[in-house]
Amino acid sequence: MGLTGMVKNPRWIVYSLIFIALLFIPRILSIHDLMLFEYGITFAIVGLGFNLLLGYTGLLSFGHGAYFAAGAYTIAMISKYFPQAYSLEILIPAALFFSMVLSIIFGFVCVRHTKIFFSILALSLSMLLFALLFKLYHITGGSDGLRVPLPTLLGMSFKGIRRPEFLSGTYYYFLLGMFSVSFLVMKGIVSSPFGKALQAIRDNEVRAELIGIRVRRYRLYAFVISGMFVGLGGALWTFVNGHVTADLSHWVFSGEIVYMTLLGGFGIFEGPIVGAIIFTYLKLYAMGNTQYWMFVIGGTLIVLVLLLPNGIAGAFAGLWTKIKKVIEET
Amino acid sequence: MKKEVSRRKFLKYMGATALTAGSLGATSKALGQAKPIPKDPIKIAAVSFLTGAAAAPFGIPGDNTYKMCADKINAEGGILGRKIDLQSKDEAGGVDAQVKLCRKLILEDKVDVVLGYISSASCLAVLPLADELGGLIVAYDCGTHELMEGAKSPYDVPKFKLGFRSKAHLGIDNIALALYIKKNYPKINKIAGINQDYAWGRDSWLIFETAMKKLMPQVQMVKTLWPPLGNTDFTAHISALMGSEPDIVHSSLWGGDAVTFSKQALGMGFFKKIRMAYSRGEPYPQEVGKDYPEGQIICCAGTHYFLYTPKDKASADLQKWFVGEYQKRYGKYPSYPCYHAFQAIFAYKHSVEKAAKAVGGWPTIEEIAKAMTGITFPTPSGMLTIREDHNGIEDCLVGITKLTPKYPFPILDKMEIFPAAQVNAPIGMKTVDWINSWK
Repeated sequence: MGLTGMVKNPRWIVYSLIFIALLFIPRILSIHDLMLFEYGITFAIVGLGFNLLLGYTGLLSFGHGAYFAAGAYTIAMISKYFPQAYSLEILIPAALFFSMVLSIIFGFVCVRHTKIFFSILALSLSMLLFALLFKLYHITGGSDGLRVPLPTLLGMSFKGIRRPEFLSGTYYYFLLGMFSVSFLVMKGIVSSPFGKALQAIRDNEVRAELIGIRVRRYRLYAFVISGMFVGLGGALWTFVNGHVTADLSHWVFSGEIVYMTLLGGFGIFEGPIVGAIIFTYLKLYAMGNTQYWMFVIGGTLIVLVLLLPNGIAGAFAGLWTKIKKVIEET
Repeated sequence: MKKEVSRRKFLKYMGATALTAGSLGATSKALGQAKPIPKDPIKIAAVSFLTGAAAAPFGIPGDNTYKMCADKINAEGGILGRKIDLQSKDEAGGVDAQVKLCRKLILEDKVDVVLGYISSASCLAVLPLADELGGLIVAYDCGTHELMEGAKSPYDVPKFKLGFRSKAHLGIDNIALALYIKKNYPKINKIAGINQDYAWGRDSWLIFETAMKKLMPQVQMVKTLWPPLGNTDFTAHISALMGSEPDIVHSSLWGGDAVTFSKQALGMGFFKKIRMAYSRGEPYPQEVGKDYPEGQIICCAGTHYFLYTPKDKASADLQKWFVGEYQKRYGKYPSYPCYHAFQAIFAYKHSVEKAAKAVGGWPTIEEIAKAMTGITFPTPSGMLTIREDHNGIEDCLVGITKLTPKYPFPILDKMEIFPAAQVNAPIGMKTVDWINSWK
């Protein structure tokens, strides 16, 4: 699609409008809501990566917490052992690199299988990393985790600035930039021939192989790209949260990634983004308002699976198609 | 440009932050006016595990105590006439969830103080938020000695201007156990350890081992086992321990793990030859009942024991009320997390009252924090001091289980109290360095 095509497509107009709105969000939201929204954005990047596997390649991973942890721990470890390199322009590529290495190793094992076998393998490998992070406690802080200070950016130091101030200023725009780039790159990937090949593999593996797609290799590529996006999300999340623990690699955390993708809808490109932001608010407000918050989260999942199998974004998209149909008919 | 905008924004939205509140406080003091006492209730958030493995042994008893104490304070007219509006929150959901929740409590719900946290991980992640957000946070039950300590001794105190812990850290349990063993079993020569394989277990063993090596250098550490958290089958561990024939086995097991271990060890005849030394064993005789083995060394994480009578009258009266009222309400004797909850909520009450006296009116958060630094007040387990490092220090009680006809579970016999100065490192010194400096 050329530039003119993009302009004509209403989808891109909506994207641009949303982007402009996002630029002004720090002026609208309270500092608390803004910090919460930043959690949402980091998970939106995670969701984009995760959905390349689930929505586009048809592989459900219950172990993506591992790559999130890879990104997060890259930051924490550098701050602990190489504080002189503690600058965003070094940290982000480093996080991408380490999550890539980890997803190549884990992906190599996982993509030999599909369906439940793939899911369980991904889960067990992430638990392996969890066990390491948990056990090597002198290095990783174990269950107590590691505290993460504020980084520098292109020589700008944020010393003396408190975290909320940092998060509502420079960092928000940095995050927004990273998110926009991730969004465009992922959009490019899924609409490229490579993305179409992944969808062919998802729909019919045998047929894909017969038309000459190297199925296992393509799955590995998808796995690694997915892992890197999740790692990037993890790295960016670290500064928002300020503390990393081994729990990030636990399957419960991976489950949350699956949950938010289902919540938004994995059949739609924007689904996981919607899901990530809604989930962040849902969990916090459930926790803040009732002791039975797990019941709320579980109940929502049941309602979701039974009534909105395509997620929230999916439901809206469905509604939109219906409306369009009605308009066209009349 | 962007930075400037954000700064303005920040100040705008953080009306209640340190800066604004501090300057407001300064102006009114300069004008010599008494600050009015607001009429609305004080919002106190109490965060404990209400779901999960730590709920039954710690979270629920702690939360019960917060409710009981808030009722007492309210019945007696509140704090400076303001009633307490207590909000119980769940500590489950992971550390990131706790960071988010704490930010919400301070920035959105605008609570006056956050009391809470049982897990050391929660404390480590949440306490720095006090200064970041300009809210008062009092940690009430988490054990890690790292929380308030710096990287190297001597370190600067306090680590957090608005963050406190109203209890002593796990150092006291393990140092007191070592001192007790030295005093009562000077002839032993083999010790083993069984501790959960995570920070809590590792830290507990580290302090105990360091202290033991210093106090009784002749003692051999014959076995150290690290079962995972939430283990359900200890038979292999028990055989391994029995095989290494120690005289005493140190353990910081808690909750279901401590109960399961006791029951399985009893069945295997473990206690015929070996004595356990539990750093936080106080709640479990009551949980297990008559089956709980006699002759086990138990530490109470302070002097938190329902049969202990503090020396001073004010504390002794509180203890009488505390044990009686808790038993009446919940049908049990209070365990150590209950005492910790009392300490947290009353640390806030006493600090507000102390600060109010000094400033004449309702104090700001900074003034409350200043008053809390170095405060001493009576609690059911004796006088409690919160030092300049914002950490509580406590005496520590150790005893040995013994069945009596009066109680349906073994109670502690041969109780010994180790005074605070003997079990807490001095201000600015890391616990491990302090132990190593013992002569």
